Amino acid sequence: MEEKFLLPEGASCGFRALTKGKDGNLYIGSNDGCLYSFDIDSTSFKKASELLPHKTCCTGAYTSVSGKIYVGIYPDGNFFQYDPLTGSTKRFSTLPKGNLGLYCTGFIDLPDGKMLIMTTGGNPGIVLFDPESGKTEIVYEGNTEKETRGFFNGFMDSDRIIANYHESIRIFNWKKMAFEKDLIEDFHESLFLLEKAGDEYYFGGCPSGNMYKISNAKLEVVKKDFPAFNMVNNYHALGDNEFICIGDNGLVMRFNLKTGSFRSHQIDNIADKGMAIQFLSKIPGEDFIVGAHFINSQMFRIKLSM
Amino acid sequence: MTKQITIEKIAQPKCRLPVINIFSQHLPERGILADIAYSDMGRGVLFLVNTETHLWKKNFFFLKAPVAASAL
Repeated sequence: MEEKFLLPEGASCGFRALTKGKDGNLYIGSNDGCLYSFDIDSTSFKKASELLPHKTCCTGAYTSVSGKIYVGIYPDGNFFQYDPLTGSTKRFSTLPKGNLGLYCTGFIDLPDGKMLIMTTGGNPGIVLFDPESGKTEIVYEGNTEKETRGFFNGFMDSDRIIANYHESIRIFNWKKMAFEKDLIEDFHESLFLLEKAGDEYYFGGCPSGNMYKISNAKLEVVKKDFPAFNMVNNYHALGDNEFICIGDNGLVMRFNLKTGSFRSHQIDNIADKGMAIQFLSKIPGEDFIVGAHFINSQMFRIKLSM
Repeated sequence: MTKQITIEKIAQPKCRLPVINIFSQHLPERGILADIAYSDMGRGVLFLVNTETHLWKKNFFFLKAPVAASAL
């Protein structure tokens, strides 16, 4: 039902750094500074490119209309362009040097051949990128409080792009290079990537774990209380109200919102080296130590007395 | 004689596969859902899930050995 493949030694995927290429391969931006391709037919990894000479953090991956792979990084918010046909890699800057704490998270192709690049974090913004000339231009400088995370969700119509931010769903008009009225205002939790099904959009919220639907600019909860508190990063519509997704606790779920059918399958981790220890503390007056793993917040207790 | 210390999980005891901040990829032409489990120790795991539920059987999966660095 599932197949599992350990990434090459030293490789671990960064944030949102997984994309499917036009050549059928999966591309993985790794925290070891490399871009790997995975051939599904031969089930083998290949180091496609060494993005950086040192370890970095990949924060976004995207396959452009042209077939080139884009990978955004942290902390300078810059991005890389990898061409699977030639094997060449180019690096581009989003903001002037010296700005750190930036995540390059979003990419989208524009109808005129240019692209928009999104940065979030310490100095959020949107950059217009011309793949032909390699020139970049800042077209929007954002709000450091409201735009700590974000990504593009695709086109709403020919002029307008849906963009997710921390607690809002916004509309960016690329012809005017300006935001319009928010699609959804006053959303009080973080939200994940939108999935379009017909005229409706579906997405997951955090921390509630609810599945939301946007229909005619109205928001409603269509599913909640997934087993074992699973939260879903993104849903995939299969048609006729059927969806498949995976929760952050490894539960793959396929369900139908109309018929109510629900099937699930739990996947367990196989990595022998998984979570580093985030904190370890002796509790005064107690004979045990409390600790927690990064990044899943798994807490544990170690008894000191044998 | 030494005793082994015990580690007791006291919160999130059912956390089994950390899928953190990764958007899963659906490959409908292959009937595959792909995602990656996080590992901050450099041992992330890519997994491919068959999206056809009639193939979801317990304890049936193929585990591939790590790819040698020299083969990359």
